[in-house]
Amino acid sequence: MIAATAAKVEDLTLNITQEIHVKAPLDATFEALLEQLGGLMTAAENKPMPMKIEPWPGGRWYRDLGDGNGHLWAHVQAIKRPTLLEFCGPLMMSYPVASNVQYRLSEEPGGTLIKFQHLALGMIPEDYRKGLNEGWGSINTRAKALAEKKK
Amino acid sequence: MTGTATRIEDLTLHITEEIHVKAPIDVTFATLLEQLGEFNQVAADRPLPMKIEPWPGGRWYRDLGENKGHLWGHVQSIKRPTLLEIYGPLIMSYPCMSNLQYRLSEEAGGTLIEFQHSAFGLILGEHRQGIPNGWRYTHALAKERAEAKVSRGQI
Repeated sequence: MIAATAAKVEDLTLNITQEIHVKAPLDATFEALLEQLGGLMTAAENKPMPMKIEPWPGGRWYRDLGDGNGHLWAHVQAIKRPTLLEFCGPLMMSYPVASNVQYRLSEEPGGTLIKFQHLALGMIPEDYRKGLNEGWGSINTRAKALAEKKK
Repeated sequence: MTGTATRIEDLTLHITEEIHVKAPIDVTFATLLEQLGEFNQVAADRPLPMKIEPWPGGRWYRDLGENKGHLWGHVQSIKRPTLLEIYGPLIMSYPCMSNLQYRLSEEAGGTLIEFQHSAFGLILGEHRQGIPNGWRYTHALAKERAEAKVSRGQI
């Protein structure tokens, strides 16, 4: 059903980019980002949805429901503290979709610039396409607030 | 990047190579693991050592120490000394899934390695052009090292 709606390659792709200016040091921003994507992760309407990140190459980013139950979102594709965090995996999509998520951090006057990118290829439902941009915006805003609170 | 892929064909990559190695199959397999692992290099003066956890689901990754590094893939299949299969993003920092296969068999005078790299994703032109040469370089080194072991009597 989903595939039938994808008539062009563009229909199979998703490209979200965001720039987040954080008034906090690079190290603190990176750590806040890990916390926000991990234990402090939120879902729609900002409901808590704690995740776990194993912060090493190939480590899992997953929802731990206990007793060996849960959802794998991705594996860590690259991690170079405090400048790069990259994931590859299905994320929350129970469809054949490959995602690459990148956070590239650099120092800028007064704090840290986070360049965020989510590229995906696959059978992406239209509601996800619309909701993901807003969802990442919310997550990244929370990471910024957390970093600025901690500094 | 996405604007360059207008046809399904633009989303795929398929590379095959046959390598004839004058060394026994178990030596060739072990050397292949070493070459893709600690002896990996991209040019004569550019070593790029990797680590392979040689079991199903094990990681193939660049270890930069202190839990930093780059994941290239996971071991999909390993059946010593005839099969090594890896899937993952490899060097590509964009949505692209690769499957690598090394199928080894005995042949007169040594071992035949049948290699295949299939990929599906938003493949950059520079990667499409450069990857075949990269594999050829890696495989030539693996062959050379396996045959050197035979010459030195290290088997």
